[in-house]
Amino acid sequence: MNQDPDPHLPHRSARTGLAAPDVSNPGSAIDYERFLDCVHCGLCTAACPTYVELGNENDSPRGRIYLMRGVTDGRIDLTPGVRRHLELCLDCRACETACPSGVQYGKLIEPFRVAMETTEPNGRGKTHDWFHRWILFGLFTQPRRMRAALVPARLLQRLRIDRWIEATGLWRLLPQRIGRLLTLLPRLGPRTPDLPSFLPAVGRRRARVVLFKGCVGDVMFGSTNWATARVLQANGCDVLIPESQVCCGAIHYHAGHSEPARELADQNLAALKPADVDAIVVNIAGCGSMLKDYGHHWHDGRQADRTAFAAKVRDVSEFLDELGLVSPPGPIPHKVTYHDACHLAHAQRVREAPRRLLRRIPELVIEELRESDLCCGAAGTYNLTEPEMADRLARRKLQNILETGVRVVVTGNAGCLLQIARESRLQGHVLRVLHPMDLLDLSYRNECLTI
Amino acid sequence: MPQNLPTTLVPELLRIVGVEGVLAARADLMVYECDGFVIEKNSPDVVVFPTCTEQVARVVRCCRDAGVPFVPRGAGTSLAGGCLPVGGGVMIVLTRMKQILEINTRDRYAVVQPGVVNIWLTQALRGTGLHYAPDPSSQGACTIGGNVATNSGGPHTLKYGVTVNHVLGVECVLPDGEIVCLGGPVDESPGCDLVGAMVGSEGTLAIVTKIWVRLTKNPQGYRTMLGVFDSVDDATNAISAIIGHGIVPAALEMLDQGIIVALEAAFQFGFPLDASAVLLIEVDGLEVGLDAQQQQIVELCRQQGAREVRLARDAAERARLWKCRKQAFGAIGRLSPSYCTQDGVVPRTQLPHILRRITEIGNRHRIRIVNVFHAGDGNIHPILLFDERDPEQVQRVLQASNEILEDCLACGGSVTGEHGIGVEKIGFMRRMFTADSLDVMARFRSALNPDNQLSPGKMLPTAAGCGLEMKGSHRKAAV
Amino acid sequence: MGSTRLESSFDQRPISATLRPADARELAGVVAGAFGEATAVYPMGGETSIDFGLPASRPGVGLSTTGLDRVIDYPARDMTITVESGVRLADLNAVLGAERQEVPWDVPAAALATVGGIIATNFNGARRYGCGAIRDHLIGVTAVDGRGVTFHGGGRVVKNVAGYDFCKLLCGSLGTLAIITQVTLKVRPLPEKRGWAAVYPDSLPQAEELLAALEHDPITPTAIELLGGREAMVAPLDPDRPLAILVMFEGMDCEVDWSLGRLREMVGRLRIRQLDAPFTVPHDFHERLVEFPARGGAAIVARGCLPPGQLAGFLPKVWQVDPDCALQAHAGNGLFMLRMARIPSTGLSRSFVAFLQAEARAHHGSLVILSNPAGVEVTRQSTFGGGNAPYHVLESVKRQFDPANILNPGRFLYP
Ligand SMILES: Cc1cc2nc3c(=O)[nH]c(=O)nc-3n(C[C@H](O)[C@H](O)[C@H](O)COP(=O)(O)OP(=O)(O)OC[C@H]3O[C@@H](n4cnc5c(N)ncnc54)[C@H](O)[C@@H]3O)c2cc1C
Ligand code: SF4
Ligand code: SF4
Repeated sequence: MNQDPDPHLPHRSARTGLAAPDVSNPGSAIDYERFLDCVHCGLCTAACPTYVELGNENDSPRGRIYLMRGVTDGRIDLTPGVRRHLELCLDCRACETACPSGVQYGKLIEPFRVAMETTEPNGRGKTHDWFHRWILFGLFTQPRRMRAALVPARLLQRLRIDRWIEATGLWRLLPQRIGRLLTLLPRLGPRTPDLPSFLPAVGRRRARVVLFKGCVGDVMFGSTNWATARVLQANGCDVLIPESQVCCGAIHYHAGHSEPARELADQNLAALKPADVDAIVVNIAGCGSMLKDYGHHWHDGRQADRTAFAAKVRDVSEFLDELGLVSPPGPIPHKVTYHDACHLAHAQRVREAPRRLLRRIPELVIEELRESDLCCGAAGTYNLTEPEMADRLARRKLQNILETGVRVVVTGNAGCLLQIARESRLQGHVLRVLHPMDLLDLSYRNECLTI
Repeated sequence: MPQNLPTTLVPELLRIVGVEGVLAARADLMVYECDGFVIEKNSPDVVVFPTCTEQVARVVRCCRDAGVPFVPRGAGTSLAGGCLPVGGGVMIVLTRMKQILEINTRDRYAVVQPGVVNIWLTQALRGTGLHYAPDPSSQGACTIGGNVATNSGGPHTLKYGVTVNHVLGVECVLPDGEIVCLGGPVDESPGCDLVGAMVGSEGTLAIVTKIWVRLTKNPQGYRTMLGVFDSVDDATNAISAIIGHGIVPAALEMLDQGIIVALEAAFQFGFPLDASAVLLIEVDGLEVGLDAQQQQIVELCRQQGAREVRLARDAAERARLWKCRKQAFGAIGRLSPSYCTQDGVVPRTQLPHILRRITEIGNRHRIRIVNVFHAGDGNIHPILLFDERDPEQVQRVLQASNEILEDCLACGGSVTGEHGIGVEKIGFMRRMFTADSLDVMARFRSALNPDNQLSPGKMLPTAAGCGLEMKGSHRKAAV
Repeated sequence: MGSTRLESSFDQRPISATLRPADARELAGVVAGAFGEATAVYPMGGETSIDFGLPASRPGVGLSTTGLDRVIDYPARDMTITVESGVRLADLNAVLGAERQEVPWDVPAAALATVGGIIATNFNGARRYGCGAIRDHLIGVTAVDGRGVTFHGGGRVVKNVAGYDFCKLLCGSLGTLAIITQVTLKVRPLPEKRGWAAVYPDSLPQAEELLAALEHDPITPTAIELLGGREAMVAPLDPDRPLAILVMFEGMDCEVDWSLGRLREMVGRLRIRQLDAPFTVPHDFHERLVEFPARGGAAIVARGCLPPGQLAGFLPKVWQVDPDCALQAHAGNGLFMLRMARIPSTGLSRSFVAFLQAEARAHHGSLVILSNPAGVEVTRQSTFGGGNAPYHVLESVKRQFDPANILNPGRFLYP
């Protein structure tokens, strides 16, 4: 029996020493105490989408922590196999919700991946390829470029060619990830006008907030941003929408590019001026959780400012729930179901607030969704980088949705909206996927929901 | 690749389960070297993921022919090292056999594969008015196959019984590769109760590949109470008073001050920090009777000196209370860098005695001990707090643990109420059973597992093989 | 209380003498001696079910456990009791009754039936539905195997997972694996009140409607009995009705009253005829109900088990082959007993009994012969109903416990 001398004693002291982090070992970037928080109980496993799909402990949170620790301790090498298990992680943080010991899994996997990226010989890292460089970082995070890029897409859609491409499966002929990107596109309405930089409260003023628009969201969900702003107004909020805000940096950071992310963060700090407002309101869960994490990601002189910034960040549902929702008047006589976006439910622990808000809409009925908090596979850009697992999870999600018999799904994250809508389109189902603010906005405006 | 594996084995396994179903690279095997018990570690030589009973049987035959040991594994939440591949060999992981095959609400049973996670079944039953009663605190992750193997219990097993009381039948693969069915969707079949003996056999008799479980009606209503006591003695006396009074609560859990403080820090429930102990008591059943039962319990608690008895006002508050209870061990992290928990059982009237002893033992060894446990069953879970980096402290913890378990035995109890013997407590078997009893157990095992190729080194001490006992449990663990 | 026993055709001839050891040590000594000489040993308790199983064939000695009749420990507040196996159920419940506790086992001839015998035959009765099976009450056991070796399983605490659960294994083993000498039981408080309701369905489909409705209601009966045939109708039930369903509730006054009211509504909705409510029963009603399989006059007594929902489909076959058959079913569990009026003159295996056994198997169940007073030809197959039980597994277990095959040889599932 190969017995370890002591499974819990950090091996670092023996092998790498505390003072001189071993740059060739990605684990050296991690605070070793965080590994020790994990008591190896396994309670997190069944919450993990990749484990539930594959049943392999190496693709579970406990397994991944064990692998990272094994690499850190020098017990195993960072083989391509080990890398695969770590890359396959959605960073959905369902494991954090499940863990009774308070293990902060995100703070293990994220720096580990960043380190994995930098230790990889240049050019071979997964984020050094053309797709990451040009499409993800170059296009996604730049609203202006993206808007331009969407012009042909709008045209295709207008001419219904996109449907034809999807239906015939022609998208499979395009370079894979571009093809997927195309099928992810929502039905793009006519371009919504840009939000102005200020919208005043309706009625008595109760709060003053800035609205974070997001980069992808701003372009693909212009209408949801408008809806969010109107709902905030209706709830007595002055809404500031500074032009100079930029991408939250999540895409970069999660792909292991810490530096560009830090720059974006600091630009946002300057643009959103947290001290002047009651809250920084976000309607995209992924961005919200990144903004809330600004205080943890980088350790430099600006940490305190970033922490103060992060303390002001609220998801819009969370914010309205805390503020006390002004009763929405218009009935929406539909059954809907609610999907918990990972970055809302797990990363931000916002679960009940959106449900509570929705329940205030007259005549709206919420059917519970089985596995409502299991990742749909969108997970930021995961959908584009790990298509196979993303598809498995999307199919699973759709199956669960179809089982409810409901045709309207509500969820608080852009990626999920795209992912679920795409899957239902590909499978030929009629499904409306909406943000909670879309529904609230309809109710405040006394409009009906069309399916 | 280990030397002791015949070279034909892995290719053979690949033929049975395909490349997706075999792990043989060292880095992939590492995570399978232990389960929730991390003191002993040993890597299996190969891990296989069968997807159906037939595959399990073929894998087993293959191992038998090759003469290598094999061990089943579910979610790997065992706290006793049940999944440790003693002597290496093949680990058969059942997590891909995860279908709920049938739910029959008329006859109140379900048929599941062993890899189905306990809570999935209850989730799948939503809306039917039924649930699966055994509710181990690990229910969100552990598999029903694992529950069957360890005969799991939980808070509500006080009223509803442990796993064995809910298993009607099993299909299993014997160590020679034969597939047999014991019991089925009926309550009784002729012959001795092999199903009952299979439950709790810790994977040493057969690999369970399908399970018929009994489903339980949801109670019409609940009353959940929190009795607050100024002394541990009063609280434990209240427990015996309640049980002795002929009330069978659905659950009766005790938390002492140490754990209350930790829970309060974690969840801000509003527990009184100066209380020495609280009892979490739940009665369920027909609405008409609940208020009276609640009243009786409140009375009994008061008579035993309860400072106050709080009532959960609504379903949300009840849910929060239970969440606190089930996550209690997580909160321990706030008290200490490491902890180790024991699983002794005493007759319920001995609770005041054993808790006094625990305090005394803790004081003597200068180890802080906190308690949160299934009081109604007399199933204690003392949690010993320490810092694992101090070997001397570890030694004291081991010593204290041992004394506590010895004391449970002296009260006529057991060293394990729900976690099983596994490899961890194998040394205690000689203390609990006579040599003759152990011999009969070994004979029984050999009726099904004659060469001891399935799960060797578990549960029963061999002549030479109880060396594991004193390495004890210097682990952080949770319950 | 009745002191009837199953009508016995048990052939005592191969048994040269019956020994009655005074304690467990002596008993173990007898078995050890018998093991040395390979003499057959026929364990006996209250002899109320001695007829069950195949006739004794090999010469040997009877071994009565009735000398082992002590209460070893009764910590009432722990709600457990440890007794020797020869204690009679009625005596046990008398001891428990003094502390307002009981073991809720419903077996005929409780004044005779011993705890060990009840466990060995594992015949569960009416309250199995609400209170659990015999195995669910058994938490510790001491027994003597076929070599005369004394061993233990379980313990004295209500929760315990150390070692193999011999308590379960010995349930239903009919004295062929080991002779139980001592047991620890989980007991329960006596309920404050017991109430019965009786209804008369016109047909099996109507009965099934009510039975299914009971499963889907929050109501929690302790017993649900389905009776059929004139002979099954215990007074004051109307013997002219084809069927009756009896529902028993136990608990606090208010619970029982509420449940009876709720049941009345349910029955009203289903338009089933109801006996005048409230249904008051003679004080010994329960006991007389329990005596059903032991009452004299049947040609054959059979016992079976099906998934409960299949009863209504199966029972017509019974009345098809024997219109005068009386039925008592613990319908909530799918357990049933048949007192057949027809003598299968061609021998069991070629008669309608075999037909019913095949039908039971087709419904995922089984049918065994409890007693056969007419003494018609029996075989292992026809007594235990065949089926797909893994006999070879049982056999290898038997070989380990009783290597010389001296305990009840040839009487059970293995030769
Ligand atoms: C935080 C925590 C809380 C816990 N709380 C409780 C509790 O409240 N009550 C309780 O009883 N336990 C509890 N446990 C212990 C553990 O969860 C249970 O023993 C559980 O039943 C194990 O299930 P598993 O799927 O993880 O099995 P594993 O850990 O994978 O296996 C356990 C044993 O079963 C065998 N086995 C697994 N599958 C099969 C199969 N299909 N056929 C045959 N043998 C098999 C294995 O070989 C092993 O011996 C807890 C554990 C943790 C970590
Ligand atoms: S639940 Fe937490 S402590 Fe347990 S294995 Fe998972 S990460 Fe580790
Ligand atoms: S973040 Fe999500 S995918 Fe990654 S280990 Fe945790 S639960 Fe699994």
